[in-house]
Amino acid sequence: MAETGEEEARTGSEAESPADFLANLGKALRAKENSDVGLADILAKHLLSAAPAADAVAKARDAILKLAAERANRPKAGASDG
Amino acid sequence: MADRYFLQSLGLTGFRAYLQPKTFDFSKKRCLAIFAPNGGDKSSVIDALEFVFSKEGTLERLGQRAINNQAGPVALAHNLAEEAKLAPAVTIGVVSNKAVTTASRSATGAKRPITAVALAVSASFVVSPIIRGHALRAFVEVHTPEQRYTDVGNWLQLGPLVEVQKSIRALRMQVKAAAEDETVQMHWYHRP
Repeated sequence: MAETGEEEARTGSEAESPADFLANLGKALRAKENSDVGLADILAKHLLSAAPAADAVAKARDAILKLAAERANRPKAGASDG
Repeated sequence: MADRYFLQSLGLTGFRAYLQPKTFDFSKKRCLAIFAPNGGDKSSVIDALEFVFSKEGTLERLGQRAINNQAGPVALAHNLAEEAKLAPAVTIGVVSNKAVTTASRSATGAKRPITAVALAVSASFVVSPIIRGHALRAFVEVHTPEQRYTDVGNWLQLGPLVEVQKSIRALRMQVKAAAEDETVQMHWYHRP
């Protein structure tokens, strides 16, 4: 019995590569309850990669600042009330 | 993904401390610990593993230069192998996709080419499969916590994740700086 278990342990589990792990992390982050989907998309696009671009941090920062500016300038619902 | 291999057996003949053929069978148990007193030939088993997967057919601790049969490739063979008419060699049995491949590597002669199966297995190594005692001692006694962090990251193939962590830290600092910059600008803009 033990030998069967050993065999299963040897062949049954597939190791997850760092690239796969990061891709799944991006998806999980996006799907998480109360997560900021826009921010999660930026992280997944630019940083959660096994081989990110040399200027990945700068691109992610620009994308976040753009997102923040859009949200700051978004007309608020009910802003004219009162 | 790289092919998955399982080292099923390791055989030593006239190699290091093992004169008579000796085969270690790893097929029954996945983990194996070797206990023996000093001089009990434990290192020869690890030497066999290092030798069979080495590019040049040598051992790091023996080096390339022969000194009175105590170093260099000539020291791979047991002293009495020639007299006993045994051809010094290390044999491995490897399982891949349920097929078993056995290959022997000669431990004498000028050319000791690596076997095809050993080359295929070594190509799938993410990190060195052998960590020597001196490396562990340096890890514990000499290395700084930062070096240890890097070592563990490398051993566990966490390099890309460590890079992601660094990038996110850098991003956080840059976004924070940009936000503070914006706050200062707004402060000046709204100044009476």
